[in-house]
Amino acid sequence: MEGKEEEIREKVISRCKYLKGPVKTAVVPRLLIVYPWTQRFFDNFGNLSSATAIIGNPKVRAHGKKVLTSFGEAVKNLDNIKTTFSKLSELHCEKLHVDPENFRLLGDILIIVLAAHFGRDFNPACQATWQKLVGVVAHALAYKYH
Amino acid sequence: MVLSANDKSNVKAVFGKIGGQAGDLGGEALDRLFITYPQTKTYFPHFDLSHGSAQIKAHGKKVADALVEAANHVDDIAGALSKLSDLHAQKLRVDPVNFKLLGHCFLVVVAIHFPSLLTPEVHASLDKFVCAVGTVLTAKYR
Repeated sequence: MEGKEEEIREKVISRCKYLKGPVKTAVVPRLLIVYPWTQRFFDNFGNLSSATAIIGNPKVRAHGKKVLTSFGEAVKNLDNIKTTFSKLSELHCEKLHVDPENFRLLGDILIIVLAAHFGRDFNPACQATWQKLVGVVAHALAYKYH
Repeated sequence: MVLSANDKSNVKAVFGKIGGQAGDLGGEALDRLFITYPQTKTYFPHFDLSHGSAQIKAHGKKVADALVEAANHVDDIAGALSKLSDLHAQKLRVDPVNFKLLGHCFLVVVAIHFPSLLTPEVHASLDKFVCAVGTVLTAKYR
């Protein structure tokens, strides 16, 4: 990522810190609602029978926080992301059996949640940077697949 | 993907709220498409694609008008967009992957301007809708 993008990323990330709660908890529930086939990985999460159930489901919320915290780690270690996510990548391949397409879906949902939170601040350059970022994260998570 | 009665009603509600702003949203979505996914610019070598150009705004309005038309005829999107579908198949031949990208940018723009409108359920409906439009526009490709 070039200089200007780093700058935007820093700006956006620092704002993200203050929106930890709403952004963190919104993403995974929205993924499960908008792309219901992603629920296939969460059979043991209990009630996912409706949007309300999904949003209120404590396991979903907890998982959302886990995922977004991990995302935050990726952002802090962008120069080293494949290494940072190496074990997670192996886990998603060998144990969780998650199609990497799902990482892209999550990334797109995150973008839309950010857009809803930041409004006009989420300008086109911001969006472009974040799309690159989610792409890099998805790629890193898929990297160890075999 | 089939639009349920609920989806159709959500789509109509969204476009009802968007109203006359649709054209501007279309322009903004297109602008974001070119900036976020530069490969999409290859379809517009004849355009001034600088940020916020008049041509982007005008074309964005065309795109938005088509979405509005589809929303107004949500029970028969294929019928409503039949001519546009022919155009994309015979002349424009935009690779199908790009409709997803534009659809995503449109959702981003709706999220920015109408965040409270885009609940997860409405988001799902709108996503299905833009997918359906993309499917219709590429239906006659082969």
